[in-house]
Amino acid sequence: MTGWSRGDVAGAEHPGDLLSALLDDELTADAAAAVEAHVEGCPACRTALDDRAAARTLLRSLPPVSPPADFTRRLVERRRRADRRGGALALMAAAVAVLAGLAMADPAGDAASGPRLPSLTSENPQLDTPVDAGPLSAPWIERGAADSADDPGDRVPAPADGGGPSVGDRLDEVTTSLLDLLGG
Amino acid sequence: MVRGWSLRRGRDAPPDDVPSWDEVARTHGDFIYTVAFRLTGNHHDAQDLVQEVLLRVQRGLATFRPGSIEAWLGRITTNAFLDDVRRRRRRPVVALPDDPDQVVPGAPSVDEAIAAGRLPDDVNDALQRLPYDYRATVVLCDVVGLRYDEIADVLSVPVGTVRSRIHRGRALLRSALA
Repeated sequence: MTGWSRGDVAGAEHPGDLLSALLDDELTADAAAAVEAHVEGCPACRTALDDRAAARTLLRSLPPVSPPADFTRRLVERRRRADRRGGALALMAAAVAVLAGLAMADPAGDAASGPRLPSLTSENPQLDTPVDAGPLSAPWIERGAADSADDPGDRVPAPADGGGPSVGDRLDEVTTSLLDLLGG
Repeated sequence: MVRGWSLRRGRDAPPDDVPSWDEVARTHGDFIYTVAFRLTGNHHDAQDLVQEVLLRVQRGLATFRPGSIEAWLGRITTNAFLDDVRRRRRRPVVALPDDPDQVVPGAPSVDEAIAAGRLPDDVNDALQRLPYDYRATVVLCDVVGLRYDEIADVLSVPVGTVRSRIHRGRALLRSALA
């Protein structure tokens, strides 16, 4: 690793950074012996070695540094709050996805046979699963796009005349489920 | 996956036992803080660095490899420090006054005695005057306690570069304290 051996001791070459490696016990026995032999007869390298040894001792005797009081506790608490927020945000995002699907699909036809709200229970955690009737292919969008501007009201989802739950009812249901989950 | 961790928990620990984030923060928080402080030189930056390290720990726990957890944490801390230094160097430098409480009280006098009587603050100040890559190498060696080949692995440099930085870094430190 070092390429330094006893043969170099007699030469003019100084061990250089091998002096620190000697201090750190990073040399093979042979290289260490060669460096030590060189230092014995070379005042410059003796001084260099002593300087590095002094610096090394100072660095290694530095005391541990304590964080300010309760720094770690505050970090742990912050992390817990972030975890809770993250969980709540994930649920909210899932709910928004579900509601977006409902709002798009609801006016497609008979509300009573419209898409059903996925159950927000632990048995059905796939909240981000799209409801059936893909929103982009919903007939009302095509119809709306084909309609002239004289019939803008048709673009707005109208409340169902009867039968199935309205989007508003489903929003309440999702909200309740969310609160249950968050409370649990 | 994290079998090495069981070394610190006794032989009966389940092999796939992953240290929790809380556990790392509580048990090794002071160690991470010490390394962060030696790298950054002040409490404000050390706290920012520790938070970044704990974020990385959170992401990296599953990839903890057998070995010393402090070596692993020292590696993460140093890499986070170097990433931050490099990021700052890419941004335009805005000269802001240092926190008055953290201002270095002037370079130590040349005539001051070195060695045993030297205050840790002086050594810390001298350490901060090293170029950041020398500082990182010296801290990994003399604070974290890694071997040269481990440092080379952390910093992605040859072992010869590690040896050279440690040798030169110690010389710079010594002359800063002379």
